[in-house]
Amino acid sequence: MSRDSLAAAALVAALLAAAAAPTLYTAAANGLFKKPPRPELVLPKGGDGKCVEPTDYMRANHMKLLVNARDRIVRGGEKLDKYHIEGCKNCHARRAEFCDRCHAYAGVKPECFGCHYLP
Amino acid sequence: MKNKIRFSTIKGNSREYVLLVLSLGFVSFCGFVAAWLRYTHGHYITNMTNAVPWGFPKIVAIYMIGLSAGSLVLSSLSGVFGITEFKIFARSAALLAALLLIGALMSIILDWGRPDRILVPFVHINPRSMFSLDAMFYTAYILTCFVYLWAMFKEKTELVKRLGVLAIFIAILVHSGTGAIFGFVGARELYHSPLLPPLFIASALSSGSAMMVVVMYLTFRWSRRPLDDALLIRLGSYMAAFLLVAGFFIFVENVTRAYFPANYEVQRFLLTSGNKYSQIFWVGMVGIGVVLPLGILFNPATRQNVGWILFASALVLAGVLAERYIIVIPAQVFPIDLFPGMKVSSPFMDGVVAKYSISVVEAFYGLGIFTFVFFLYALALKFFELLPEGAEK
Amino acid sequence: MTDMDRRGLLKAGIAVLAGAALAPGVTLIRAFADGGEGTSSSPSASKIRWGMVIDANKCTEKCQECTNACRTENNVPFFGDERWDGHWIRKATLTPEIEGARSRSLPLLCNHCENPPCQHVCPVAATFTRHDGIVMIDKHRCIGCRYCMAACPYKARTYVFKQPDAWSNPDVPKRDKGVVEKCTFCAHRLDQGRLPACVEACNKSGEKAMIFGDLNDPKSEIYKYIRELSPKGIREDMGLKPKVYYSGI
Repeated sequence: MSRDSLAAAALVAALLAAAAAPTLYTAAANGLFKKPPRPELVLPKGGDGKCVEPTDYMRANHMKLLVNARDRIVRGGEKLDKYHIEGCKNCHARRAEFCDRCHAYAGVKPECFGCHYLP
Repeated sequence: MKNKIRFSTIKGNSREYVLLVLSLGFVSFCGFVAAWLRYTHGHYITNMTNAVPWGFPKIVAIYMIGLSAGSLVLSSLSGVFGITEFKIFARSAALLAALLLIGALMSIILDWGRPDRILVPFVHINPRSMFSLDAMFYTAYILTCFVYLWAMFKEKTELVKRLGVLAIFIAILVHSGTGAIFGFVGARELYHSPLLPPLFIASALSSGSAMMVVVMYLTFRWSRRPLDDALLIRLGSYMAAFLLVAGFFIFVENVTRAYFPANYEVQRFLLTSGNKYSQIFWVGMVGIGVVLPLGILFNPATRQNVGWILFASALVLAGVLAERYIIVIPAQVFPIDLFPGMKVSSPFMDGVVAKYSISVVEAFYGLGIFTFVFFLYALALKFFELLPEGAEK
Repeated sequence: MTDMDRRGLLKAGIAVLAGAALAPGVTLIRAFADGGEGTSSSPSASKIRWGMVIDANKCTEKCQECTNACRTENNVPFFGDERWDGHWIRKATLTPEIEGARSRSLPLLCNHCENPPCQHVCPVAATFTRHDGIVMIDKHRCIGCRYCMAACPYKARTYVFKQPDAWSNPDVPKRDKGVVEKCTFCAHRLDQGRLPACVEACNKSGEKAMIFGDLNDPKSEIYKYIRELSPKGIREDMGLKPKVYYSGI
């Protein structure tokens, strides 16, 4: 190995380390190996506990339903239906007690709420 | 190949080299900080407005695409037309072409409102949009550049020749497409012109040869490798030819537009109003960009002199930047005539000349990305065999 | 994969097959003429063509009801700086270049062209024409390149320069910074059978300068109005076929 290729390898390693640093730092700050407690969700009061689809299905697929509704309604010009995001707030009164907690637990940052108002 | 040219890397451990790389890196870092600020705050920290949605980043982007297309064509000349003198910079020119186009794309994409949606143009295509088509051309262009480079490194002469033809074709396609982004916009008189694609090609070739003169001179000088003056003189004569063509297109475009009475007002605004734009047009684009360098390159006393050719090249590089400014900005600044024969006023800048000046953020942004290309180029000289050991026969 | 996706895919597949089998050139031209993906040239497209007539003789200069109503209804960003303020509809004052001529005031908005240049240039087909002729922006897809703003001759489009932080109308989405927005003819209200906010406000103010309706419906008020008084679109010479007509200019 020449000195130059060593230097190149060191440079690549340094770049990789620099790129990974924020992720590692965040992971460490949040407890890398600790399993966080399951989020406590506040469910709508007085409801029958059913969403527009069964709970298990919603938990896994609500984002697909939302994206599908989005495309049907925005681009396809269909009328608003029960799958549209504007319908969520009819039952889930507070986003902070439901959507946000689970999203924080799962570590996802959906962009929906920048534009769509959920109280 | 009678006398084969041997290429090698530079040592790159002198203090000057390290300093150069570090300072280039620092300027490009500042550029990325500016881009990050722009992204996190929004476009209001730039001087772009709803009336002038395209600002300096766009200017830098098309400038760099031009330089890229020009240097790729010059690089291919050696293989395709057997201009063997040009072989000594064929590799570095092709690498610069690839890097410059990557830089141009960075300049465009980081200027989007949503650069995080970078994959969307690859998923959703609109065959009628020049942007969408150009996205495909740019991708093909970068790939061609790298395959072409690889073939040159492996000394596959026949393949280099064929790829060179392809590279010339794609370079022209890419840059015509870039001109068509503006030329196809019918809403604004100053954009709508079938001459923009060929003008873009002519300026690409002139600015590309100017850049090769400057970059080659500095590279060979600083890496202490011998460079034949005849090469720079030859590049200078090429540049003069390209400049003539570019000047011709500029002339034809403006005369054609000025001939029609509906365009009197906009041409008066651009050419004779004495405002910022007509000053940049006459002094920057025509004077510095075409007339002065032509004078130097056609004057028998100066055209054989490397110092003068370097000076002319620097003028051309500045002049073509002014040309890109004149292509992008005045068309947006000048109000659209929605109601011919009536004066319009509204709270939305209707009927008035909009204001635009390059903001500090945009300047850092453009300069930073431009420098980043040369930062990568300087690094590449150390790690790839780009420079010939002896340029003299 | 959902039903919708499957149907779309099937349609695309059939189109490709038919194109390959019959006349590739023809399909190519068709695809270009339709503006590529996102237009609704499917047979299920409705016959409705929403349009608007603005009577400049009735519109007064002081009245700002339509612009205010639009701002409130659609959460159009307002920062108090003309460089960045959003405008879906704006009031303009026209003065003929003749001594002592009467000036007119009228609202300018997206003309929902039949040949929308903004849609033609959009690199990601975020701008599309809905089945009822409304030109809309899919803000979920817009990359914020602002090509459409350069291409629109009516300056109908504005860009979100700054993050707007509050909703004036929570039932309608606002925009994140970094996308382009414009008038939608209040498509969400039309879907509920209501008039666009500007038209409603104009009627309420008593000026009644705006007529809104289906250009294809012979029984509609707008249809009869256009038949009788033949109002003109702005810069019809450009061939964009705008669907907002003006009378009295």
